[in-house]
Amino acid sequence: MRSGDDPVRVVIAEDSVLLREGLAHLLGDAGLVVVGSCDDAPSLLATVERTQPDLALIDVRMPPTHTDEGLRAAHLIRARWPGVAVVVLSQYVEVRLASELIASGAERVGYLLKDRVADVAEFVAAIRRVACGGSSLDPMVVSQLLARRHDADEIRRLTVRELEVLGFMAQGLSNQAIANRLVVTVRAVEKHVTAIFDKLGIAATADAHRRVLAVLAYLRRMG
Amino acid sequence: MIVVYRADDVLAAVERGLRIDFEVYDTGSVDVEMGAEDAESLVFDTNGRRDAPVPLLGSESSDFTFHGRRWRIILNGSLGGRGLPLPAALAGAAGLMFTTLVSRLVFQLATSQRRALARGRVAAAGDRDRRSLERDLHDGAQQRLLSASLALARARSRVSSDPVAQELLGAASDELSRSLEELRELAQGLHPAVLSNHGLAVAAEGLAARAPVPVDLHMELDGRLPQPVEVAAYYILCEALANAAKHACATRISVQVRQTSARLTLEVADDGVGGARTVQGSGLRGLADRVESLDGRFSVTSQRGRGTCVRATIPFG
Repeated sequence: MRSGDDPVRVVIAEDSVLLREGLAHLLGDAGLVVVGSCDDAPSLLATVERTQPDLALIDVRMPPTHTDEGLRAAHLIRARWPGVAVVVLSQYVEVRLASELIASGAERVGYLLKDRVADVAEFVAAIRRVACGGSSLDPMVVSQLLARRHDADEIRRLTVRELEVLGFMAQGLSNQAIANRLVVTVRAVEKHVTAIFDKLGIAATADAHRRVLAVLAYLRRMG
Repeated sequence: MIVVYRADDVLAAVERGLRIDFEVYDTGSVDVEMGAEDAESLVFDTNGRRDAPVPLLGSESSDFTFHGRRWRIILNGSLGGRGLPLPAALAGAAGLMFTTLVSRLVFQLATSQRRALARGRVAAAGDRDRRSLERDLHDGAQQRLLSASLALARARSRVSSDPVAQELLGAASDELSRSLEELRELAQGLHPAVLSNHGLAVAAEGLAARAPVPVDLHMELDGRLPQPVEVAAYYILCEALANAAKHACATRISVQVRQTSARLTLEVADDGVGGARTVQGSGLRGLADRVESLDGRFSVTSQRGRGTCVRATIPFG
């Protein structure tokens, strides 16, 4: 479990050498420490056991079958080493798979479209957030969740801006991060958050980690 | 049994509204239903051609072998649309007159089945090609572009003092991001990796969630199905959802996917304008071929103003 200002220790599981090195450089530049790199699920599990990193960054598609080895490894890691955060990168994101991943809690978990790594600043922020106990759900998953509930009466009562804020909350962003994205003050975000919780009837909580669960639980409740 | 009849009796009966509905089955894969109009025009088309007789003397159903497969024919005759049973002799006469056309029809069916089967094989081969193409794209171009954009991002962070370089690298990054997005969509269109990795339930949920029109999705699925069945079902859903949104201007779509012991049934119904047709070369035609090549049934009901309903039943196991 990480503490204080120690640098975040990361294990990378990615079968493309080129990308694995790119990710290692990228995280290194951002001040994280890559303590292990692997190219398949068995070596990932062995490396996590050996190095006990803060976070494992895992590509879903790895040898031998190139299907969902990485996702299965992520579930295993969460079950076996709950202190190790996981961020899963995938070429597609699906609500059901995200739900399964956060079924045991939305803490220390990320599920992102692989292309998101190209937006370095946001990607690194997401990695840090997850390593510090938070979560990071891909915007595409969140928009699908929202679309599923779009005709619920409570959701219809939200303003466009509130919907936007709700989406960011579901992705796992803190008020500060949401304020930065929307280029507004934290105070303004707080007001929106209060209004959203009022309208949706969710018990308010300032803790971003806890409220992401509340928001997701709300969105996943099928209409 | 000897049946006495005169062709005139049949013709006279036709004038009085003789209606003969018949169904021809092979091993259960194809279901042909014809209305009275078709039946009548066929009756008049049988002159003197009884070269491949089917034993159908007044009996209501009969099994026979043709082109190496077992077939069953069921005849239902009625007079004047009032559901009156036909006199035995008349039924026998009509049955015999049908002999030739039934054999011709069966021949056509057998041929079209063989064609559908061939088209199904072509589709399956195409699926394999597309799947490997998708994997090539993913393992090749997508990874390379992604690592190129990582390199660009690093370069950008190292020239922070040079605004022109910043701007150029930023523009290059944006271009790369767009290429990646296009490539991802292309790969997804080539082969839905989520389907082969996680099965129909997960893939269908995703399709429903991304559809531009609200979808009520009801699924009763129990584990994975054979790949060709999943692929066919997935493409039917894609096409039906896309048609409902694009052409039918639907505001609500209902999707039912149900798995029973040996078959998968699929129904996509919308509240749109209706009037869809399975014309040659359309997406629906291709789907019908896929389903038929799997010995399934495919139908589209689409009356103008009454919405469209696409149904498919695909056996497996």
